[in-house]
Amino acid sequence: MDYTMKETKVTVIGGGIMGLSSTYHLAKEGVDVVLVEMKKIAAGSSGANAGVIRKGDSVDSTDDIIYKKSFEMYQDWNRTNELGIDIEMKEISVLRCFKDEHIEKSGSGLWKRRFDNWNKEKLSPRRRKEWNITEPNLAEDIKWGIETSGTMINIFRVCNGLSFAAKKYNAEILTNTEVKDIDLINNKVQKIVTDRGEIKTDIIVDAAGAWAPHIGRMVGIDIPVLPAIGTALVTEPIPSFTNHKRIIYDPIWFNPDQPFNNNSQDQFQKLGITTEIDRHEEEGNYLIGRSEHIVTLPRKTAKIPIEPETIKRISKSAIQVLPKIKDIHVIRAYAGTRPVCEVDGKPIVGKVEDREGFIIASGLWHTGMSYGPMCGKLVSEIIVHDKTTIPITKFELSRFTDKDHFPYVHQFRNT
Amino acid sequence: MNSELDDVIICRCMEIDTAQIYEAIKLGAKTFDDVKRITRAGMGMCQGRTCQHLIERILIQETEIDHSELPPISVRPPLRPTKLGVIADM
Repeated sequence: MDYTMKETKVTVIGGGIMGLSSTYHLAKEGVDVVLVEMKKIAAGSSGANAGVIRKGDSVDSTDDIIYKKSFEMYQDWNRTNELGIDIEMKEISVLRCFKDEHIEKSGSGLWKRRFDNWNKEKLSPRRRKEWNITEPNLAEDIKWGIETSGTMINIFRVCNGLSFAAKKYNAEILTNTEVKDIDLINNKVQKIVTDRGEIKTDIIVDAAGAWAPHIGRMVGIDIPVLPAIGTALVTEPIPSFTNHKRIIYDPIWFNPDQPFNNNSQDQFQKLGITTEIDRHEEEGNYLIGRSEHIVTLPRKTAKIPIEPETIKRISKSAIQVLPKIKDIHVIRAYAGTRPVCEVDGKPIVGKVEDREGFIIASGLWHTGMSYGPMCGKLVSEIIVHDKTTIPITKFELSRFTDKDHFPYVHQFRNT
Repeated sequence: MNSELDDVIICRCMEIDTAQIYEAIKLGAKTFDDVKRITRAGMGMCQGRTCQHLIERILIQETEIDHSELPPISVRPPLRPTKLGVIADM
């Protein structure tokens, strides 16, 4: 399958949810599209997350619409055989738990914002004894909880399914292919140079997730996205001893400044540890997360490091919530890199000024699986119709106007 | 492909049978990790120690891939099942 030269209308860089969804929607519209992936399908954070889709914590209505549209797409894919594979979509029960001290602090800072959001959805914390379904195995000092629901999907089946479906609509998917350089003439995209040959292309979609800035640099722009490492543990299969499919305990959100701080003296805050215990009924095991640790990594990282200190803190935190879990065996730990926008934590999706044919689709942070299906459609709309059904100018790179805080790289490469 | 073998369990931990492995290959799986990601084979208690070679043998039979082309499987810590309490006290 080696090649030296190809020609296509659109080249999508990245085989995660954003790249796959963009490729799928473009191919479905009949656009000539090639996807280039450095490793394999869902090798990054799209293959290393909990598979829970949800609205973000933002009160933004655009976010809500993107989530709603994505959710509807998942429902369609689940109902029909569009992706050629069962995506195992299901509703799950969620319990968010708190201690007395957190309820006392709920009137200020970040926490107030989150409580305000929940209040809008008529969700307020209730005392443990009032819950309809109890969690008898929770630690005794956890006395409050919000019972809500969520949706879970099988991330590998979604990503592989999108790849199958894109191919069905004649897209080409090239895995194990690394982008080395991009050629521009008069700031217009001409071709992509990979380690397996060259692709002549009119449009490039940079959906390289946490590595999107590396691609951006090839066309002389700075994309303010950093890799935030997330780590999780998988337990041995055991009979269920929890009633809720997902139990969340995230005290670091009580920090008035920011939920995680990589310079903090507190190891839990430094590594961004929050407890999320997910019951996976198909496998019969629990998935225990998670960390949030912003790092600088060279692009060609064979493996995302799994730090002993991180898995130790995740374990400690989980035991503090669910003491019984201490006697259960961990069979696997894994990590992924969420792409987080270092300026405002919002997605970066859309065209770029002065770079004709270059589109960014990254920075989805915690919302990749939740917003990915619709964001990919928006990318396709930009390319096919030059306008989107949902206005997303505020997601464009041009929103960063503070040149001091965020200097654009003004280097024009002409070949 | 032998239909008599379809219900033979290949991955004992996750109870994945031969038919499911064939289906994954039909969907485009070319390596053990590909099969794992589609079927969950190799994701159980033994982390592929039992089924890796069986699945690789099917891959070689069903595709044009040579044994030498199969990449090593991804190995993740901890290498042996370890109690959460033990990790917490590391």
